Amino acid sequence: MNEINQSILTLILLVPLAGAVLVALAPDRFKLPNWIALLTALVAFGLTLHLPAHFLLGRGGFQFEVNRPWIENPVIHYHVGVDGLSLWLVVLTGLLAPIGIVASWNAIKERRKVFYSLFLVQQTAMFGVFISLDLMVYYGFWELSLVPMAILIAMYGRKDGPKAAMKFFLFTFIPSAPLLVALIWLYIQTGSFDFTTLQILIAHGSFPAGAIYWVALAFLFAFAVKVPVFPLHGWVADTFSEAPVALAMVVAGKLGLYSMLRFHIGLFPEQARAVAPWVIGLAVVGILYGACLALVQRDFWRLMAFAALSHLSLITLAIYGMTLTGWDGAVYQILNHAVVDGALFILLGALYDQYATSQINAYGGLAAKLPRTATLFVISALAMIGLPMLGGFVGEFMILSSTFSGVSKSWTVAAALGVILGAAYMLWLVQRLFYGPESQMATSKPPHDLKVGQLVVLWPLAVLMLVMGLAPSLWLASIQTGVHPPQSRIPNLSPQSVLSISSLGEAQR
Amino acid sequence: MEGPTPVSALIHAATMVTAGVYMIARTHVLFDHSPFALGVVAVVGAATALFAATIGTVQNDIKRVLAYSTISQLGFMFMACGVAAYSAGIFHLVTHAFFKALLFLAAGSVIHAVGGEQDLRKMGGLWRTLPVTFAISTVGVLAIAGFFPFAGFFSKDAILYAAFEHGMLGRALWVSGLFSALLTSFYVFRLWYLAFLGRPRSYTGRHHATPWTMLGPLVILALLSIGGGWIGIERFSAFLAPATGARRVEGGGGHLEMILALSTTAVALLGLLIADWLYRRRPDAPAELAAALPHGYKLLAHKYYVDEIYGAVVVKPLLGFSKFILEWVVDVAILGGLAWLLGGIAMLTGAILQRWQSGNLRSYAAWLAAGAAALLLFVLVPWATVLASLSAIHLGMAGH
Repeated sequence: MNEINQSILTLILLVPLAGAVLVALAPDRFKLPNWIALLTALVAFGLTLHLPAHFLLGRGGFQFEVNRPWIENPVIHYHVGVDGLSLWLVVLTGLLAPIGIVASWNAIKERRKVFYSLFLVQQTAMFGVFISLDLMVYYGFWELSLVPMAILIAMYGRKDGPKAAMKFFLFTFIPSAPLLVALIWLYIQTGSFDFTTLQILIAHGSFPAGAIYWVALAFLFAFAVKVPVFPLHGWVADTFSEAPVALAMVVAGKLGLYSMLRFHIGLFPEQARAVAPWVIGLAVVGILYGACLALVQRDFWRLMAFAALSHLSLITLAIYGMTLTGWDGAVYQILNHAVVDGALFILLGALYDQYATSQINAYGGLAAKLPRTATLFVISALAMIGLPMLGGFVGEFMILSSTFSGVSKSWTVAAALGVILGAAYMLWLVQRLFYGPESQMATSKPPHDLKVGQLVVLWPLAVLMLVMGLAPSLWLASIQTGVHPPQSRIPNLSPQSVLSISSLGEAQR
Repeated sequence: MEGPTPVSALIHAATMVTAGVYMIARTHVLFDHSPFALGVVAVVGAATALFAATIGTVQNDIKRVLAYSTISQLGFMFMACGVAAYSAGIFHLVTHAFFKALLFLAAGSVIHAVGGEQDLRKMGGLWRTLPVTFAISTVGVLAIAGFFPFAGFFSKDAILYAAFEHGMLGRALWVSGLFSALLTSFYVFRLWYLAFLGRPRSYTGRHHATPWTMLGPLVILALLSIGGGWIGIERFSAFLAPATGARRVEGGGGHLEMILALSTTAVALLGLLIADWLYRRRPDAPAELAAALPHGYKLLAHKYYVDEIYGAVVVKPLLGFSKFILEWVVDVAILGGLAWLLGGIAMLTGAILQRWQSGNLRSYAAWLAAGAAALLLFVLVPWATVLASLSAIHLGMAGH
């Protein structure tokens, strides 16, 4: 068992990559790429389930840790591990992959080898982001996650893929440059890329005060674009309209939000505290702004984009509220949002594949023709709104209550207003798509309701929303071990040992 | 109200609409700390009772009349909570559940019998074809109007008594409540006359006999509507005392109680008489009345334009602001423009630099030659001498 624990994270990284190679080598016949990709993704998902099964709740710090020297100069270690913060995000990434593949099963008809192969590379990159504890390795995976996404958007865009891909790439790639500079600056100062070492050194060491502030800001900037935080959301609407469903499901949110928690607040708690009021302000603006814009969108992909801006801003608010409950709620809401968004994207994708339009007013009265789609859509929409008993309620409640008691009452009121607007645009969307008089388009085309393949992934998601609403402690117990303040994770560390680590860095340099 | 009738009955009688009253009674500890908040609850309650009752008097859809009646009765319950008579509010919630479920289900039976027609103006004379439904509805109507000894009498009386005892504000609430009770009696008897009495008007559907599966629940509810009030507010308060506190003893008896009870009954009777006069003796009068007061009638028929006011004050400005200011100005013009500008600078730089890489052999050769020349110039020119002579010239000029 110990050996499995030692190698499980490496396996999780390698399995999708191996699948990508296999897909690339195999002939494009009999849906072979689909099957290989699906099997690989399922194996990877199965492997990720090993993590929560063997995660030790009582222990703080990282588990399943591997730390081997990789490159001598500069000192880069292959250092991976998970804690309560990343544990479920890894599982979530594993879960969404087979779902994304099933959602693309019939939608992707051309160049399937390229699609599935890049999709699996993207999968490895996301796993890598969540488990890397060496900042250079992390940065590599972070960048790697952008590339397949941009290529796939360009290749499979619905109308103007290349333009959306360009926008996505510029928006997410440009902020990565300051991040790299900041990483190198940190390395020059400390001689280490290692997360835990840096955490200790930054907490105890003395750096030029102005410089470290800017370094922290460079980290935040890169993550904020990826979340996105207002006003850096310019890429989202186009990306959501163009990206294939399987990618739109994963493009926004979790990578950036996780990175904020781990690498911005985790590494630079003081600097993060200093900018927190600003981020909170932007988050509240984003909540209301996204909700207002979602209300007036005529295209459901764009509606989903602004809805995502609103919901992810709420999570950002919780993260920079700097309260423990807020962090628990934030991680929980990341999971919940990804599950709900995934289901909604699959359903909207099914509608789009059938009717070839995302204009909301072309739909109407579909509930009688597509009862399964309508049922699952309503369940997911209610989970998104935050109806009690469904997952969204738990996360939103934790976020709002912690903000109310720990941050600011007026911000909470504003954020709650966004939640109300969220109910407005989601229910209005449901009404315009599925109820009311049957539209001409709905009557003229023969209806094709969800097929077994889609139901097999959607019903489990719906059940998951329910379980997440009823038994949040299944997840929160381990999340809580991860979001303890960074200080408490550095137990009994004397200044001498810090000094020795720091001199180690000097020597290596 | 738009839902299937049994669902409406459930929602109106028991679950959704009464949640607010329950919540206030449940959290009365909080409300007790703030007389102001209680006052707001009471005034809102009284206003709701009056407001919805007036709308109910002109509606023609049988279910719509009942829906506004629910809102009106809810106002009574809030009024009770607002004067800290929580047990009276809950008591009315319970009795209301009996007769409102009864009325909704009876309405369903009627609608079923006349082939889905919901317009009261097209019904009439149904007492003959639906005798059981008629009898049961009569019980419901008497109960909601507040006739002794039906359930509604006891709970409504308890509320009005509690209001009367509540100081100056209480007296005003009592007057308003009494008037709402008059309207209540009027609109339910209006419904009763229009649906069941008179001659059959123009409903087209064929008659369905109402099956016993539909009538059975109605009978049970009818029995509760008759006898449910006899629990009595004293016993009910005592039962609720652990939850709502026992500070207030509603219904003390005596002269005052008697007078108030009589006045409640009197307004119920008055409502019946008005309905009788308008809808039995002078069937043309309602239309004449509506014609004589066109503005008032329109106001009521359009429910005081509340939906329209919300639309104009909240929905339209919000959508307009989101569309024009947030989306067009902020998102497209400002943020999109900035992104475009940044992208444009990158593209422009690229376009300029691209000229170097034109793919044209002659251009490459020219650049090559120019570069070689520049390099030669750099190597061959004796810079030290040139610089020295230049500085000498400079110095010489400075010297002059």
